[in-house]
Amino acid sequence: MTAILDINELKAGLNGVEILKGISLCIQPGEVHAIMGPNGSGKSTLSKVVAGHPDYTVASGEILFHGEILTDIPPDARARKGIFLGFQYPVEIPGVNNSEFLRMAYNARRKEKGLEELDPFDFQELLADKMKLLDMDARFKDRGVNEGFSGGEKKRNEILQMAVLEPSLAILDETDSGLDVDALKIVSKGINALRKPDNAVLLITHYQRLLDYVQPDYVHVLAHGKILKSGKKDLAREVETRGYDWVTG
Amino acid sequence: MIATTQFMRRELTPEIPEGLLSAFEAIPENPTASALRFAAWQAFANRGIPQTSDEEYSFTSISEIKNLLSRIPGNHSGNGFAVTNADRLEQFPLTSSSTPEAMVSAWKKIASEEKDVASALAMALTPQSIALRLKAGKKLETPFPIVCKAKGSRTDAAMYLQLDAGSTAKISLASEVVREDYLNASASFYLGEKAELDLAQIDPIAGSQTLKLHFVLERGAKLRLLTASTGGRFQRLAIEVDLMGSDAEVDLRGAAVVGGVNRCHRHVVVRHHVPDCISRQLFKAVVLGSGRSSVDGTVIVDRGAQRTDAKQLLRHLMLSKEGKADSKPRLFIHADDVKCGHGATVGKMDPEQLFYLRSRGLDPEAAISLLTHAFLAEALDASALTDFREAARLRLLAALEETP
Repeated sequence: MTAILDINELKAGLNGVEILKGISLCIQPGEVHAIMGPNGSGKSTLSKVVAGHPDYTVASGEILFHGEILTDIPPDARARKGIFLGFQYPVEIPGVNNSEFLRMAYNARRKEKGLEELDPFDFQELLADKMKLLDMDARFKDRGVNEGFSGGEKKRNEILQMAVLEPSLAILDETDSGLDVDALKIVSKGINALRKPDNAVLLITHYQRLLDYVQPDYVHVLAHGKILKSGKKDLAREVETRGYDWVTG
Repeated sequence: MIATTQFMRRELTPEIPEGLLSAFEAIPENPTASALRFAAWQAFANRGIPQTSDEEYSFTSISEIKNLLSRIPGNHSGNGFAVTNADRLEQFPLTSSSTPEAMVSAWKKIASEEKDVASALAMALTPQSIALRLKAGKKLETPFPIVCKAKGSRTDAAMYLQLDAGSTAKISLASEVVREDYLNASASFYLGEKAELDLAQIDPIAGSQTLKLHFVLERGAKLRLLTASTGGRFQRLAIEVDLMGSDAEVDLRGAAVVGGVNRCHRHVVVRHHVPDCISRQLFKAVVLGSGRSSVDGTVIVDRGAQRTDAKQLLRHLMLSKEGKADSKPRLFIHADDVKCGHGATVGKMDPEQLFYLRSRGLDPEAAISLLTHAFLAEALDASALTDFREAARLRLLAALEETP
């Protein structure tokens, strides 16, 4: 079976500074992986490199998505192939209507799959269903993308986008930060609803609490640009109890 | 009158071409119209053709404005402003003795105090200026179209619109100029107490234009202006607002896409003469190709204009290296209890916004287009003239696509 994501000895950085110092990670269909790690360990860098952020450069190693090497593929093409990045700090884009933007993104993905574009009326129905799942007020769809949203609303909007786009691989970068318990439950419900045998989720988090709601199959501890320890879900609880020093030494 | 023009002839400076005075003299005299035209000519002659030292033209090519203003009008005559369907407004050709005296004297006062030389010349050289009036309490709900047309290599145009107390109007103002031609227009608006005006103006698609819009607002009057432009050989819009009565409000918004080798210049002065008025200025322009855009905006708060609330934001989005943009926001505050803010930005597209859209599958062209629409939307969306606004939006978006 071809892995959804297969990272081999990846070294990458920003502005000439190496941040990822040889990462290997393999995610099979149906799996949820969690990456934990202290601040500055390279968690967000990993998510941006996989998503294809143009500021980051890959020095060596490779990233395969469904067996295809991603290195020279631009971020929009990666997204259309089914990679989704849930941002730690989603940007506000005033003037770009949330639902119109989502419809464009949704149709770009459909076009990639060789499907016909969905007309605005059908899309509104689909969006309404997804918003219900995330307990989102209908007025959010008519606002500018993330414009004036609270921290929690922005994160919920990220999960809404994920729910609409139905990616093959969802990388969620600290989606739990800034969420209160109720919002965390709703967001987790959205993530769990997406879990299917043919897709995968990579959760990036500081804390165990998200993993109480979204059960990972594997947990990795990232520090100093390397995965220092991997294990099953119990590893997260152990890290929570013993701290990162236990792993990083 | 002849004695007056002879006096003027003696006063001619080398910068004022004799042909202009001849064109001025060639217009048949009329007791009502001539008073205005003479006042305007005097205002023009006091300042003369703009020189390099004139600060208000600091971002424009002086040689270009000199050439345009010195162009001699042909004898096509007539006013560039055409008002059709005028039954919804009272219309007075200024040559008619039926024009209310108060309107004539108010317009004459504006002419005699005009500091914008192009506008002064427009009032001096337009043979058949038009005065319009909307009577007290009347409402012009359906947008009233006014077209200003160049009829030859140079056309001057002048109009005055008085909105009496409590009246409200939606007006669109569009210019038509072909490639080599030049339109020099001046439009003055008087908003009586609690009068409201929604005005949407769009520059011609080509050619050269200097347009002055002057507004006087009395107590409680409200003005909302949308101005849209894709630039031309040389296009300059001057806006002057005098807030003369308390609780008056003005909202000025400009949206422009300036590509190719087009030029688009905006010069704005808002003056708070009295307390408790609100003014907003939001001008946005996208520059592509070798386009050139400038926005020079000033807010003046007079001594005694306490509790003024004035904000000004001038923003340029640069989509090319060859383009040029200048923003100059200025505040002159002579009162001590005011709330004033201003800002100006000239920058590229936000790379994080661009990445965000691309990370959702939008290709670079679609992402840039969406962000550019969004940049302009804030300026465009406030206008109540929805049809005109959408037409302006389409024009701007077409200009975005035309420039590689």
